[in-house]
Amino acid sequence: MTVTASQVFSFLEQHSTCSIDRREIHSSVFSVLRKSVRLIVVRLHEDGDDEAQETADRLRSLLSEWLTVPVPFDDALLESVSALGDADAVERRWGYEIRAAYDDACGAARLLQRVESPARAEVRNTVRQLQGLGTAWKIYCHRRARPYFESIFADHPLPADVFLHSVKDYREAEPFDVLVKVGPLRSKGWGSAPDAILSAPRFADMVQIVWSGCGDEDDFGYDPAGIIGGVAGAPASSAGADRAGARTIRWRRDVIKVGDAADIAAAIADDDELRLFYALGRVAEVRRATLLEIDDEDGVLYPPHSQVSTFDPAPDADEPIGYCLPGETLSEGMYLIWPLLGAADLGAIRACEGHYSRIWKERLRDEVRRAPDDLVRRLRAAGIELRNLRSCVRQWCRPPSTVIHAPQQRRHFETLVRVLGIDHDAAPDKRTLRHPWWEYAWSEVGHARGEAIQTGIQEHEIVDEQLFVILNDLLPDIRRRAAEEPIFELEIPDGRDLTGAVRFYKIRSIEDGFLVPETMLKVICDLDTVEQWRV
Amino acid sequence: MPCESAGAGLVTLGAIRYRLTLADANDALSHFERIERLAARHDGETFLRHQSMKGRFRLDGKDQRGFVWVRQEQRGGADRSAQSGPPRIAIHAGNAAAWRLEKEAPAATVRGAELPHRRFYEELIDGAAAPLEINLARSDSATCLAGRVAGESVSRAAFSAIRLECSDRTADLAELLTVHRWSPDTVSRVTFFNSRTRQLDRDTGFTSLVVADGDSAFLRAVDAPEFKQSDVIGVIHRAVERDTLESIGTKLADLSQWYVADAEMLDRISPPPPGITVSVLQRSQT
Repeated sequence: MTVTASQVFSFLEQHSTCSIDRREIHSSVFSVLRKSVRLIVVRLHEDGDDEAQETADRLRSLLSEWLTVPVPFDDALLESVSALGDADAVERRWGYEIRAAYDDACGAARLLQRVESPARAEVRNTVRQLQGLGTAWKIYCHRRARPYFESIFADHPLPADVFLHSVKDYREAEPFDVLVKVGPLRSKGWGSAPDAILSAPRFADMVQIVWSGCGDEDDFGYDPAGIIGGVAGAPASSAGADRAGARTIRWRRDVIKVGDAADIAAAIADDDELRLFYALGRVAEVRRATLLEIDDEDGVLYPPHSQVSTFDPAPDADEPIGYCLPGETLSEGMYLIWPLLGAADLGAIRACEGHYSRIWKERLRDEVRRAPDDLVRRLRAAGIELRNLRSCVRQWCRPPSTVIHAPQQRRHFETLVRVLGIDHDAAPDKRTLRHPWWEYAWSEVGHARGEAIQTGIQEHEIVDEQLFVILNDLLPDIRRRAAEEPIFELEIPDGRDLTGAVRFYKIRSIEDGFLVPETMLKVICDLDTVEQWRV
Repeated sequence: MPCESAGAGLVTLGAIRYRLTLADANDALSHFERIERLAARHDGETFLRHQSMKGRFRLDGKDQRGFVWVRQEQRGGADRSAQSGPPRIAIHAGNAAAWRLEKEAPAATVRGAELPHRRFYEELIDGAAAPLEINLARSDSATCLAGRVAGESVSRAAFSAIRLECSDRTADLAELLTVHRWSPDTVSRVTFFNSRTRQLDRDTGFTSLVVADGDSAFLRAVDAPEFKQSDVIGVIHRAVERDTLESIGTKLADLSQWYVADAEMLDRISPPPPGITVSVLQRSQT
């Protein structure tokens, strides 16, 4: 049961002043790590070539995560930092300054392995205190940050309902006493949270745990009604606006500094990397996008104002099958319609799904079984500089499910196939095999991700139009399947204009705040990869 | 607003209640003028129905005396081109109230019939002037409710969940709003704009006030050509994504080229409860 307006108004009547208890953490070793990684990111960003940019993006993503998620200081931290490889090679590739910063970063990461993350300690102490007081409390965090919170309380697991992950979760929450938030208040990107946290609080107090230097977004808590009489985003200034704000919620803020510096007040303040990285965003080469998460590991990014084909399972839906706009008519719980069509009337014949993937995946699994370390080393040497390459390889080994799990980038896929040593047989049929083997395999991967259907807007619309007619005829079947499972597939019956199948993915969450290369829009992409494009 | 609510429905109900007290607040006077305008189009595609005569009638032009003519549609394969043809009937200002446009609410009910739940309207606001008897029996299209962009059924379900009590009786907000499709047997004191399809359930040519339920409904109502001359009230909650909030902010900033903050209006309304922010823009005089 969701909250009623009466409950919210009653709560706000009793809590016209709320408080933010900001716990600002200082750690001298972590400061060194931050500073070093920051320097590497900035320098590589300036370097400009693709490889440097990719490495910078990976490190930017890594540091952003540390600053907004209570990650443990463990082996994974050092492994992530040292993924640039041998220090001498780093120096040869990018020069002494980056090598020195790299050494500092690795040294700091080694030292941090011996201590508990103070952010995790703060979360644990805060939650234990709240549990002791018997108050109603919740944690706001990204869905993918949740395991890090849960790992802090492995002995006494937290109930699922203490977590809020989206603006929808927040909207539906009944008023409670305390909100726990790690990281600065930002409306988009890493550590983002709904503006409503400040403009329409459902809680009396917030405990905000932040690393030093990480400032809240200036206009967090944005209320469009406050702009009248001024310019958008500027503070309200007219008499009318003042009057309008006369009974708005007021906030009391306290800052408590904690950490290992001997004199915290005198400690050198850290820079705000999240703000810096936002400014570094490669806006010209990327587009704003909204992420639709469709399962634990995959999502699809759509540019603003996209018409997304959806099925709305609500019994009273006016148009159960049709287009929806992310952020407007598209909501969590609806199903993304993902056609896997034979496209007999539209040209290209669909590749036989799984034919090529079976071959390269089998070879990959053999290599992983035989000598996994050697494979990772060879892939790196061949140019695949992916964060957590080892886990990526494990991911690529998975059998096709939602998609054919494979590298997201074409050049990475080419490299993978080359390292695996796969090519056409010795005597290829020159008539049908005009391209390298990996291109056929890549085409198969791309098709499973939905790229084939995007060959042209007009074709897309024609297909959707025909598809919607077919799906409306299948509505009872679709409703029945949707009641049973979050992902399902229906074959298009014989005798229709289209052939093939349609997959339905239940939309788990919808999230703004990504800047994405054009080629990665509207394709199924694993969430680890998506993270690098978070603002 | 700090949360999702039936606020837009309640604001609309207030507007309905207010117009029930006004002498000219019904469609009767404008009804014949509208039929005249439609007749002048000579499109042959406009149909009317009569409150007692069965069948439907095609609008068939206007003569020099000012009469508008309708011709009854022939049933089941009758020869339309027969010389005598089906009967023609004249509509004039005096009998226009007996006619309604097909698929729209009747312009007026039979005299003496009551708007359902009239006591609710009477007792809704302490000390307010009593509704006029004539208005309770006639439709009014000056107020429009722009429903949620999620669809008409979603709007209706949200308003149906709000129950109002009066003495020993209860009614839900959806009933009291008298949207024609939700209460097809009564007069309708409000038009409904489907924000999803951008369709108005009846277009009487003039809407005085639009109440938009939600951010998307507000943006669509502000831009809709049907409402160029209308006042617009947007009831918007803040628990939405930043992009959505910014869309509203951008629209308000755009409007500020032609509109200014209306502090005087804010002074006239009582302070809202905590969590509600009210802003008013009025067209700039310069």
